[in-house]
Amino acid sequence: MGEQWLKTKVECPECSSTNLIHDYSTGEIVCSNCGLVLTEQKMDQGPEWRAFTQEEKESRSRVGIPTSYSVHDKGLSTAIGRVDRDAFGRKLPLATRLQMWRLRKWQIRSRVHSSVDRNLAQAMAELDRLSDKIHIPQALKERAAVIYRKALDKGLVRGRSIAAIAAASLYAACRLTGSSRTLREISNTSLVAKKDVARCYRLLIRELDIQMPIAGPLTYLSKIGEKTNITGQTQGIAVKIIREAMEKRITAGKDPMGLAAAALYIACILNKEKKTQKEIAEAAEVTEVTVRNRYKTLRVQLDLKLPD
Amino acid sequence: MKLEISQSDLVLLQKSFFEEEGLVRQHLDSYNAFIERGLQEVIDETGEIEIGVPENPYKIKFGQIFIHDPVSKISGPYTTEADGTKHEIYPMEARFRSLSYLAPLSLEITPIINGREQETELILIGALPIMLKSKLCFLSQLSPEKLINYGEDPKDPGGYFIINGSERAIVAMEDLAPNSILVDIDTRGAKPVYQSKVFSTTVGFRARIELRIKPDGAIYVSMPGVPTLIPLVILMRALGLESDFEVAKTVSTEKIIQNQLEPSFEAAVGVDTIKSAILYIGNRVAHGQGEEYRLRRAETILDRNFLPHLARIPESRKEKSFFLGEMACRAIELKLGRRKTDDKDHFKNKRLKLAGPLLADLFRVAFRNLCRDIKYQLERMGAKRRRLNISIAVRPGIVGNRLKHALATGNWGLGRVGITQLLDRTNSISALSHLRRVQSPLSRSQPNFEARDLHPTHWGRLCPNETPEGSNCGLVNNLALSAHISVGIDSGGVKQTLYRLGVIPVQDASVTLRESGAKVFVNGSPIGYHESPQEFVAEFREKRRRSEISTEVNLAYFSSDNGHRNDIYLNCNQGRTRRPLIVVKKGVSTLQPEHIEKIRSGEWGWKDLVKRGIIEYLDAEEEENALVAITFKEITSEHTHSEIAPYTILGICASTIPYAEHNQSPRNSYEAAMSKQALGVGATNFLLRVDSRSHILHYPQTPLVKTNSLDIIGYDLRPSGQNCVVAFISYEGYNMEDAVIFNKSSIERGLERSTFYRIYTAESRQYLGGSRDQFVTPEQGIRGYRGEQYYRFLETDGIISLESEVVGGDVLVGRMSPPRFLEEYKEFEIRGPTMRDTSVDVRPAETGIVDAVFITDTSDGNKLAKIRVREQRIPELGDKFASRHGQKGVIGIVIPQENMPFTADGIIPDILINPHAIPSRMTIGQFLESMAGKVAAGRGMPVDGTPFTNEKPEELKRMLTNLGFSHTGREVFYNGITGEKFVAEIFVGVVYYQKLHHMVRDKIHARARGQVQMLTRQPTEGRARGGGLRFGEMERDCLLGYGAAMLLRDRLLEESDKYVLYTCERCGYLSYYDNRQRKYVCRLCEDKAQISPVVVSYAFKLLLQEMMSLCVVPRLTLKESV
Repeated sequence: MGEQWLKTKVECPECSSTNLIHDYSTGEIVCSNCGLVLTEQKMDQGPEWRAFTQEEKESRSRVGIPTSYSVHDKGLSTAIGRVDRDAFGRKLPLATRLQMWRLRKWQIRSRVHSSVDRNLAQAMAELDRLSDKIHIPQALKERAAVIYRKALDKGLVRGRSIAAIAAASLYAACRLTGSSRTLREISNTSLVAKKDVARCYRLLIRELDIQMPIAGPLTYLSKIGEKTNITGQTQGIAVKIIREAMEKRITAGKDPMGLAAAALYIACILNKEKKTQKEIAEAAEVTEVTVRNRYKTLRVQLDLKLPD
Repeated sequence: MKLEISQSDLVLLQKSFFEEEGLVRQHLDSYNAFIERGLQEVIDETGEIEIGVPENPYKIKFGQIFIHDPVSKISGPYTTEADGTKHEIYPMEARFRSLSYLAPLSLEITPIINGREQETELILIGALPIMLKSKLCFLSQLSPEKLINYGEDPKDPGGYFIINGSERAIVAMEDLAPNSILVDIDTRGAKPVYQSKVFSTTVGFRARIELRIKPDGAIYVSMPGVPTLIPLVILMRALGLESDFEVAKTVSTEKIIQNQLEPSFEAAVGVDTIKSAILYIGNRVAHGQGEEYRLRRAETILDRNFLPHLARIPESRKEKSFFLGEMACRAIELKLGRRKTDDKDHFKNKRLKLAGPLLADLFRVAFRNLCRDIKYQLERMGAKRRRLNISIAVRPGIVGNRLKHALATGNWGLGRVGITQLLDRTNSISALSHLRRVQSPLSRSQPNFEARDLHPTHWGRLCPNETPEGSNCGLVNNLALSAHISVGIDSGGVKQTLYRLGVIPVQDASVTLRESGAKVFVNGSPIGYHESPQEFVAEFREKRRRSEISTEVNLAYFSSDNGHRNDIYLNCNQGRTRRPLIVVKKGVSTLQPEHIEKIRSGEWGWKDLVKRGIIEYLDAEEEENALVAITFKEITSEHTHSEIAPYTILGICASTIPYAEHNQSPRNSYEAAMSKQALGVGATNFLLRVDSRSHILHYPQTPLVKTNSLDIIGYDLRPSGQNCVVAFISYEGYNMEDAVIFNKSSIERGLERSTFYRIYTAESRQYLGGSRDQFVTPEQGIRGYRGEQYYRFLETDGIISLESEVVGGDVLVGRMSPPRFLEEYKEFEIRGPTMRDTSVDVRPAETGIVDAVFITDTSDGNKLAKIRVREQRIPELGDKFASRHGQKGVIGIVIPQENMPFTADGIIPDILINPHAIPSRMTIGQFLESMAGKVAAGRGMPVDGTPFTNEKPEELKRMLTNLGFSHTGREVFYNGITGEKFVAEIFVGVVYYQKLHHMVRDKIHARARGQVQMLTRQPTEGRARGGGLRFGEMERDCLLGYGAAMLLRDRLLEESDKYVLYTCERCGYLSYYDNRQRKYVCRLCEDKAQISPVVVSYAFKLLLQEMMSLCVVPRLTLKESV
């Protein structure tokens, strides 16, 4: 078998079929086309040790945490421990202890050397702070970090504020995954004005060639609904209204937040839930006028019969 | 007057105690105290932080802390969704969606610029884990009906946390009492060293102060921060006692004791002034520095590190000198033989650390981190001169994640691990017992014999039976039913009361008072003297019973009449284990029948009795002053108290044992451990719960032989066993060695039948580059594809359909994941053969029926599917059962009813156990339970088997005869197979049997082929991984002994990790396969290489390579095989 282990088997050597079947119970890989057994003893992907308690798990594991883009050095730095004991567990003599202390100090000082590293360290701290403040899931933060790193590689950060690019990356990541965060939310927690963040965001899109999915009103529906305590049932009606509106192509060019707010407002009326335009507008962070205008368009265009 | 309080009245009393207090009161009290006072105290310790911006430094001040979110206006447990919206959650949602049950924490923050206070802002600073059923928990205010509506078990005790969907219980830590002086003799050296020690503990700082009398008679003190020992007299002088007279007087007024100070004075010769004494210390801590600096360092050490519990300011030095004097005095008294060494295992010297103090420790560290971060953020911002916005600088994640992480892992930092554990939900008993567990910090690897022993002061505080066997024996304990943990009150108010009652402060006490009166200690520190201790103590207790003084306070008087020094110890700190007792005055119980009547009518509650001083709580120290009658009958004029009910000295598990006092004690311990493994109804909301595994017993029965505690615990509503007809007979030998024989028809009627639920979880995660897991039926040809038949039950959403009958390997949730290591820049790659199949399948060797499918999403916005698979478990050969007397056994055979032995009346037992199980184990309780069960079944009413206060054996015998049975419990039996009458009469009765969760179904295992390990390429280990059965060293030795060479080769090579190693014959090194040249090459010999294959075990190849990594050169010398 020897070197066979090393190859990633993607096709059957006999019939070139890619329909391989992995049988975990017998440890075999079989071609489902010709029946050839490619491997008799599959390797177990998990650890070979068994641990019943957390403590055992920690002591037996030989790996650390996975690398992460949202840490400035991807978590791959070296640190000198603070144990101050030798391999036998004896205390180090004072001279060695002091030497280790100095080494440790210089290790920390020299860890961040290039300007890129310094920049990243600051940016990642900012990203960390932003996502902590507005509760951004880890995966999204990671995505934002990748966008930021790309921007840095392209030299987009030079001459602009780190905080602004970081906030813009975060917003871009939110938009890319269709998670409903507004630019205002992000810029409010950032030290940078909304205007600057928006400018940087546009720059990122342009320079990094990011294909941004269009944020439809649907993404924001549940968010407004949650804020104003509108029932799921009513939210469902609002979804239907928006779907219909999108089919009739009357949503193009309109602020998705306003549309979502108006649809919710209509749904509330239809479902006899008492919510004022003002409440909904506030939750959506748009003006009442916008809600009223969208409400009118929707009512007329979709030919809705609403009680007054 | 004759007392007319009956046994059932006392049960009523006990019930009212638990109704008001609940079984996990200690955790709830402690946690509630933490959120009411503890949180704010931690904030106030810091108070304000200074922001050192170069141009105009300013400060920010912390105000009050609130459980409130300033943005969403939520003041209770809540969660934040992926889109940033926040809403309140109930515990069931947290369990269900794998969320944490946390409430927002916000703090008033006021910037102070140029001494002027700016506008106060309320800012979210983190999230606090909420203990279920505590004040902040939504459930604490709900009626049982409402609780059911919210998906809870109405009888759930609460007292645990929900972190990431799993229930975590905090285990109480037993700790040596802080701030009190303990003396002992160090006999390690040639001559004994007398020492007194104190763990001086203040918020977040613990200083160990040790005072030792060296063999030459001089006294030295050690404290943290000072590398050497300091002579006592110098330290006293540094604390401000200039003259020798003052020093001697502070230690004692007695000549004999003062004389013992002689060597100590000699050790301090040449240090005569306060300044020189301080300088002496300064020379030790800041050697070689300027004089001013040395003085300053020494003074800070004195104020900060020496006895910090008294205060950490220069003004407290006087007080510290009194404390030090007391320490010295006690050590000398010990040396003179006037006092015995303190008993470290006495429960008066122990404190229990519960959720409150443990969380406070954690919160303190987290809050300090937060402050540091705020300071850093503001200083960075300030440097850039922007408008002041504090809320931007506050990151709520610091506090929230720290608390969450500690609770989730049980890792408290500083090497303290295992503080929280996953709550055991096997049955109601195991959950309750888990919440009342007490852990000792002592190492389990050291013997610590004394610490493991049962101490007389454990009476009524810790259960004598419920402790594990083995390494943790005696170190892990469980609270007794009657135990109650003090929450503590501020000692300042208590001291004021004492001074009002005539206690003279230490500095004002005259020599005569010091010699004739009693010294008064509050929480271990001397605060003054009282001239007539007897009267004082009596008056104090009277006031407490009239509720003029908090019932939290306990005091004890050790009189010189009993050979002690005249001392009064008063305690009001938290963590003392106390127990309620009925107050007896002049030989008469203060509890009268009319009080019981009021309790019965609901007019009074337990609290009213405590308020009126009819019942009072005693800690281990005050109990030293009490003489407690076990029953009312025993009360004499000497007695001061009476027990409420003797069986409350037992813990939760031990009090389920009927007639426990008739068993050999270890058997009760075994049963206490086993009752936690019995299947029952862990929670009545089991159909809504999503624990990864749970067992539910089908027809749980309340035991026929009850104990009073069972009703109190709620065991009759969530039992974990069934009443079985049990005969003591060996039948064809199928029940030898502790096996049991079951009646097949009984099993078919549903006896001890249970359902096993396993919940599988699948989350669709997001990855970098926008890809995410998909719940679909995986496509053919992707990596790890398992073959069509395994996906046959999946619906279009990739999730299995309900009621599918699945076996091991069947896929429950089909899932495709993107390749594992996607590179940074390959973002928008098309999916192809690199997709992986990461479906969730049924565990190998398990079967079942898909019972329920839950689909929801996590707080990160990922889709989350939980699938519940059910399997019926019918008792079969090899399943484990146990009675309530530590008598466990596995089924040896299941016999059809027609072949079972039967009585003259035609009764056929459910279970046959072997009579050999009894003589050596002496579990007489099981006989009594058996007879009592027979009586209960006959008369149609349960029998009371409560330990100590049960229906007595003679009574049972009489009732058996009345019911027409033999008084021995034995009956005539006939052989079910031959029909012959047995020569001997057979003992038969009704015994409560528990099904334990060790079932063959979960253990049976074999392997013919299967996967191998990555590291060694030997077969995997363990049933869950389809592992092999180890052919170990001793087995190998057998084959060697027999000379079975071929079999040996087969086991250890062919069927294990056979590997073909290519090695160079010329140099003996390993060669490698060069893919480009398509042949094996030797690095060293290149063209001259002579490469040969060698069959070795992979482990051997690994060994060679590991040696090479250590710079050892292994060479293989090959020879032709013969």
